[in-house]
Parts: sequence; C-alpha cells; structure tokens
Amino acid sequence: MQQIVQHSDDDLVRAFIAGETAAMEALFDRYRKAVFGWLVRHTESRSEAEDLYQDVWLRVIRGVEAYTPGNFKAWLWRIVRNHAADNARRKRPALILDSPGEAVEDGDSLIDAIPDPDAVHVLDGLDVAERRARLSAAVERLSPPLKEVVLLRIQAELDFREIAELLNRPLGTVLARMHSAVARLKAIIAQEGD
Amino acid sequence: MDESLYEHLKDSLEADTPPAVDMRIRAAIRRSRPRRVSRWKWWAAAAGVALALGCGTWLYNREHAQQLAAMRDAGEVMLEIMCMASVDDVYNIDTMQL
Repeated sequence: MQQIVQHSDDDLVRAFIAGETAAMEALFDRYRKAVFGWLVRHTESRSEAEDLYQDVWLRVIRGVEAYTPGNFKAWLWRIVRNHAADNARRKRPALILDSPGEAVEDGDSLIDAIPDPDAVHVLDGLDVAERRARLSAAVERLSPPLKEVVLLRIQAELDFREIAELLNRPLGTVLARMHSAVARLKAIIAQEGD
Repeated sequence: MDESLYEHLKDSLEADTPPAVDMRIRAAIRRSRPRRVSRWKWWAAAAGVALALGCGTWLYNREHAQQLAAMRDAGEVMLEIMCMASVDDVYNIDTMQL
C-alpha cells in the first residue's frame, strides 16, 4: 500500500483494471476529501452531498474501464460536476447565466493580472476555526460562476486550462472569473475585518 | 493568487468525509471485479477456442469419413444386389421367354 501511494493516477487505474483493488482505494484516498468538500459547497447540504459522493465514486468504480489514460483528475472532476449538475436539474430546472460584462478574451496574460495579496493579512490574526468560518462564509457569498471556478481551482486543484475545458468556456473567461472571485473575496474579508 | 489566501482557502474548504459512506465505497471497491482481463487470459481463451475448433474439425472429419465408408459399402452391396437382381431378372426373363 505504501508503494501504491507513490504511483501516478494512471498507474493506479491500470493496476485496478488488472485486478488490484487496493489501487482504487489509493485513488479514492487521494481525492475523496476534495470531492466531498466540493459537493458540500456545491449542494449546500451535507446529506445531499453524501448521496452524491457515494454515487460519484460508484460511477468511477464502474466506469473506470472506459477511461483513456491521460488525465484522471480531469476525468474524475467531469464525473463529479456532471453528476452534481444532473442532480441540480432534477431538483429544480434552472439556468445559470454568466454574469454580463465578464471578460472573455483568451490568453495567459490574465494570469498575471490576478492581484497581489494585501487584504488577507487580517486573517493571520484569527484562530483556525474563525478563519475557516469567515473564509467559508465569504466563498458562499460569491456568485455561482465565480464560486465554481474557485472550488475547481483550489479544492479540485485543476489548472486553469483544465477548468476551461471542463466548463467549456474560454481560458480568458475562467481567468477573469478567478480574478473577480479573488478581488471579491478580499473585499468581503476586508469588509468583515473592519 | 497569493499563496497565503490560497492556503487559507484550501484549509477552510476541506470537509471531513462521512465515515459510513467511506466504508460503503471501500466495500464496493473491494467487491468490484473489473471486466477487462489480463493479457495471459486472452491468450488462454484464444488457445482454448483454437483447440476446440481443431478437435471439432477432427471429429467431424472422422465421422464424415466413417459415413462415406459406410455409404460406399452400402452402395457396393446395393450395386451387387441390383446387378444380381438384373442378372437374375434377365436370366428369368430369358428363361421364361425361352
């Protein structure tokens, strides 16, 4: 098991397909916290997130033979996101529209445009529980498109290109959303710190 | 994004997974049997099919040869009977006529 932990995602998938179930457990351990945390944020209901969490992993176990080695993390997050979206559609048919005026230009230059830290030092003086609560509440106050990018970047640890592919949006849009989200989070934190 | 905010956010967004659900998922993983078989199993299956085809063909040929032999024997007997009968008939007819 110790050796398995060192292997790449694709190696673990191959080992699982060859019959080594410990390999899938290693993959599960690698991503379970991020997946569950994302689902809790996305659904805003722990019990609903638990159901989705179980369904997602059962889908992964059953569907992994169809996975083409390349980027397991992106494949997994596509399943997570699609399943959560299906669930949301079943609950209430609604359209989430992009907020108007978002930048849609492409290019990596926008990565550099993400602002430098200056407002987050207010968090350093807080204890862990309070800091978590405040940040968690700040994330909840983001609009759905901004929150989604933040969660995929920070919780799922996908890079911006993978997020753009997953959301089927131009890279520039994703970067602009992240930029807006960070600025908004800093504003909320600073506002609450006053 | 600055490292400080990133780390703070990552820390705050983590959620403990439900142990009971984790146990069910782990049980499902242990029960799972991926359908894709390893390479040696493919070779074994191919060899089995080839062996079955070979045996089937050999048995069919043997059976067919036996049937042909039986038919040939039967044909010869029939021929003999027919010939004898015709000879007799000819003989009889000739005798009768004579």
